[in-house]
Parts: sequence; C-alpha cells; structure tokens
Amino acid sequence: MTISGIKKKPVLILVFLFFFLTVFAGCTEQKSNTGEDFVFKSLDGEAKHLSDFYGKVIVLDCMAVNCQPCMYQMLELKKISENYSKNDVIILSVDVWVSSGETASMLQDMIDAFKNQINLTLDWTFGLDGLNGTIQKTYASTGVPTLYIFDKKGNIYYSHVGYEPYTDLAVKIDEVIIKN
Amino acid sequence: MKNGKKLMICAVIFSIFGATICSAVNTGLTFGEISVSPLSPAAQSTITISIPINGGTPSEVRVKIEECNGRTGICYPKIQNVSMSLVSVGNYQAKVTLIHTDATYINCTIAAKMNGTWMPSAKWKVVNLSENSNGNGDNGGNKTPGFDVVLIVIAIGISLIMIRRKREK
Repeated sequence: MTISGIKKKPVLILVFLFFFLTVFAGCTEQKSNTGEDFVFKSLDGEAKHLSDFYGKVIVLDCMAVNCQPCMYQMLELKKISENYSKNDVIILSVDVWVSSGETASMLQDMIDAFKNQINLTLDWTFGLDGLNGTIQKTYASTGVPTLYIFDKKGNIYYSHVGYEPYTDLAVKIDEVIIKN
Repeated sequence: MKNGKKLMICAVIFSIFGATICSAVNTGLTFGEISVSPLSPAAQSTITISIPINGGTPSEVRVKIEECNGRTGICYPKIQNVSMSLVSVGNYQAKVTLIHTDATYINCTIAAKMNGTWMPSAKWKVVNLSENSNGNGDNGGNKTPGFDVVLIVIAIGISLIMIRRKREK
C-alpha cells in the first residue's frame, strides 16, 4: 500500500521509532512522581507513615545533618511553621542519610543546636529513613535537601531539589491550599 | 544568603560537631587539623586528605567526603567513606577521587576507631573546589536533551535510507 507514492510500512516504522525515542529518551532523569506512601521512624522511635498526615498539605523535607544547605533550609521551614496553621500545613523533615551513618542522636543534636545556639525551636515532625534508604532512593536520589509539597490527598504537587527560600515555597503552598 | 544567616548556621554547625569533642577527648585521642592537597582542587580530581591524631593508636581511621553544590544548595547522596593509612607516626592519609562534576565544595569529616568505638573528629574541613579547566562543569552527561535529539536524528536518518532503498527496488 502507498500513500502518495510512499510505502506505508516504512512510514509506520519511522513514526514508531520517533515516538519510541521521544517517550523513552531521558528516562534516567525521571523520578517517582506517584506520591507513594512510606514509613519513617520518628525521633521517639515510633513508626509513622506519610499517609498519617493526609488531609493536610504536607511539606516533606528530605534532609541530612551533614549537609550545610539543609541547615539553611531549616530557617525557611521555620517561617512556614510560623506563618501557616498546623491545621493546614504539616512539615516533615526526614533524615535520608541514615544509610550513610546518620543517627537519631545526630538529628536530635542538630535540633538542640538550633535551640541552644540561635534560640530557634524547630517545632515540626522530624524522622529518619530506614537503614536500607528506601525514602532516599524514592524521594531524594539526586541529593539533599529535596522538598516536596503534597496536596491534602497525598499527591505530589511540587518538588524541588536543593535549597528553596520561603518565598518560593509559600507561593506553591498557597496554590495547593487554594486548589484543595 | 545574608551574612547574619550564615553566622547563625555556622554556630549551629559548630555546635553539632562540637558536641563530639568531649567524647573524643575522653578516649585520649586528639585530632589535629585536617589538611587537603591541593588546596583548591577541581571537581572529579584526586585529592589527598591528611590528619594528625595523637594520644593513642586507633585501629582504624576513616574519612567521609560529602560533595555539595553551593549554587544550587544541594549535597549529593554518594558519600565516600574511605579508610586512611598511617603514613608516619600519628599521621593518617587517604587519596580520594571526587565524583561529581558540578560540586563546588566538599565537606570532610574524620572518625577514628578506638577500643571498638568510633570517635568522630570535632573538626571538619570545607574545601572550595576550583572551576574545571574547561570551565563548564557538568552538562548533564548523557542526560542532556541534546543526546536524545542525536538519537532521534540517527533513527530518522536510518529510516529515510530504508525508505529510499525500498522505493528504488
């Protein structure tokens, strides 16, 4: 069969190749965007699920103690904590470098240092990834800090790799609050 | 970032690591200054990290190197944890090849094992990396859109050749 003198089969192959390469090229850069649930360990050793916090906008901060940008990020998260009601927005900071040796006591030392050194109370939920680094692999494979904003249903609304100032985060939080 | 902010965070970071000073001293170990050679290494280059440790002979000394990008405010997850060799009395050294092309600084921390317990050094070393000689840094490697476009162009080219050959028959 021909279409205007061109055989149909090669054209179909060409179209298939084009779409195949367009869809699959760059797959290595794609990451999970499913908003899948995960379990983390709170500082008091309790197992908590991300889904425990559904119903509120969740700001997930995948962080590490031995990461300077993550320390700066704490100052920005503090502003979120101060400016949004806890009935609307929940902040979760999860240490995802547990597989690299970070521990609950190191995380607690960091929180204490903020309180004792600069009188800043980090008054939100902190937790740790498991030793197998599941959360790190799923949510922070590129590096830390990696921030996510989940809508009230637990879908990822926004993500950002690297330090993010409060002003930029607030815009996205406002959007997702209005959307819900 | 504002200077005030930086000072505040410096205090916090010092406090986090400073908390380990006492424990290290209690074991009798005294960590000296961490030195890195060359002073301003390039990304992906091989560096030599040295530290004097006195007051005992640890059974093992390890250095942890975190690579970060100050422009994007990110630290990469591939942290190298390398064993250090005793090169002279009380002096430990390790050669490490940096991984990330777009890292702008590294953070080195050292821990020594004494009587079965790991004792982290109270001090850490932040080293700014110099620009790569080509001045470009990472362009994303094989993740760049350009790489994908090349594949598509090659595929289209091959398909066109096949079509032309079939038409000639």
